[in-house]
Amino acid sequence: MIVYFIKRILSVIPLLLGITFFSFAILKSLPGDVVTNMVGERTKTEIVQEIRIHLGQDKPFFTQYLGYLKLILEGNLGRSHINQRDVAKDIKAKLPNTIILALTAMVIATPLGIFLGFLSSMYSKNILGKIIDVIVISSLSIPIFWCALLLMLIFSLTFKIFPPSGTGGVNYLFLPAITLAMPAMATIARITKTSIDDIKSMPWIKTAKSKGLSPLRVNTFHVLRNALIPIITIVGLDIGSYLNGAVVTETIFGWDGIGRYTMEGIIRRDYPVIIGSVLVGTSFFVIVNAITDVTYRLIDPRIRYDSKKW
Amino acid sequence: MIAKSGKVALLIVSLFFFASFIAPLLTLKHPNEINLDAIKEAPSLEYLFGTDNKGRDIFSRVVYGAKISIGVSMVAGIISSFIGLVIGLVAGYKGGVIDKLLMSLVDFILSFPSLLFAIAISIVFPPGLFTVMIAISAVGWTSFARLVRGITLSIKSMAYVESAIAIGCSHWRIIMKHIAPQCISSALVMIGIKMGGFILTEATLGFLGLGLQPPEPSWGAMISAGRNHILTAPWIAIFPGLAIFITVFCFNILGDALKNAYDLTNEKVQSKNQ
Repeated sequence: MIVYFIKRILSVIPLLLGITFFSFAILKSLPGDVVTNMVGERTKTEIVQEIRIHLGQDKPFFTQYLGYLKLILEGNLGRSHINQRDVAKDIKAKLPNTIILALTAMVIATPLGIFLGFLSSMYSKNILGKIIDVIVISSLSIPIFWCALLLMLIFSLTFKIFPPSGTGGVNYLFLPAITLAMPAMATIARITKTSIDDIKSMPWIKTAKSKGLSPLRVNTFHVLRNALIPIITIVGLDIGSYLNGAVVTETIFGWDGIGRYTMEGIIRRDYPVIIGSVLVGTSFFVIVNAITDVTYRLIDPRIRYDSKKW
Repeated sequence: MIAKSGKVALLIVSLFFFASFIAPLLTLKHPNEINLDAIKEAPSLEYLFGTDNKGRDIFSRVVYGAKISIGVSMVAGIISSFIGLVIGLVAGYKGGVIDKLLMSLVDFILSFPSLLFAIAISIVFPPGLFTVMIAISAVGWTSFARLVRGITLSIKSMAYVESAIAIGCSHWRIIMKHIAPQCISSALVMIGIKMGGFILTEATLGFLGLGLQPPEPSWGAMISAGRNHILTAPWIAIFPGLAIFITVFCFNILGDALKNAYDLTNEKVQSKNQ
């Protein structure tokens, strides 16, 4: 078991290296020359050459990559092309906002998704089940930027219940969190349904029923409880969809997180900002995935004992 | 058998796609035609979906946009399935180190949040149709590769492949004649399953300004343009969004029907091989 933990945690390292390599390759393949951009096109060739050597731009690709890696390890993500602000500092300031938003969305999506999935599985042959299925597929199909605009139009601009945009208290958090929760809720509902359907066909459920337990007791204590394990994993692994959604949601609602920061970078073609946010976002995602994997094994005794083989 | 709901969904989407091709015959206004006398007109009989801030007819832009959104996603699906087929066949057939390497590449790409990955890819190329297709396929091929690899592995152990090897068929012949044909049909089904997601990604990239550039009508970009007029002219953003929603909804219904009919969820194929 401990060996597994160590292996799983170590497996993050090549992934993180791969991510930095990928982002470096993208930086290198961007149109335009760094040095010419800095000094302008009319500078003498010798001076350009001198600066190039000074910056280490003449060194081979791999040496440059090592230098880049060193900078990242020092927590240096470069400066914005547009306003010269330190990208790492900006991201550090904005990341907590994104985490708050994602966690709120998760808190809304998880119970709702489990509840919908449970109902849809229990009433799959009846009209209620069909209605829930349509709701779930709809939430998967709705483009979230459009959903965000609609929510804003209805709740902020027409009825003026919530502020249309900004960062701040619960008032500001509500609409973006709902938007972000929609697709996640649908995913959770689907997994819950499949998971419950699987458990329902297990022999111990038949035993519980033939013992004469009430359907409610069978469904909650025997079915739902066992179905929860895969659901919890999905909730953890689905962090990527929150990060994807944050780019759009934060932009529309003016929530000051790294999603909006990325989007501003894209609009202004501010490459250090884009690469920095992608780098931080992906690393966060990879690390959370590893943690989910490890906790999942801790929760489920069957897997815990199985993994002695590792 | 594909469920009836899936067939109906396919019919609706085909109608959308078809309509966008015969749109010039339907005497619709040109999607980029600017009419400054009719700015932000509310939906009416003349302008079914209203007009935008430049007086362009939103109905005709939505109809023309179908060609782009569905077309781009379809091409991206075909590119993804092609890459996935090649990689999956090679990985499954060759096995060993090559298989391990290719599959860790798949895992690597899947370890990115997909939209961030697509954004990272699309900033390298100039924004446009081509870039959107590349960005979608760069992530999209992975699920095809996994599927094809799984099928290849299970076919490879069949007796007829063994006899093909025994009578001295070349690797190329075995792959092309005996294995690939069976993978292609599954890959085609997979395109149907993935289409909804592809269209959403296409629309999101368009909304972020990384897709087709204005004034060409792309659903995502139209919503982005309508954002600034959401209070005075909500229809500019509402109708293209509705078009995306209905299209993706239909594709998702179709995808579910295909999944039930063909049963090629990844876990099934993988567990068959273990």
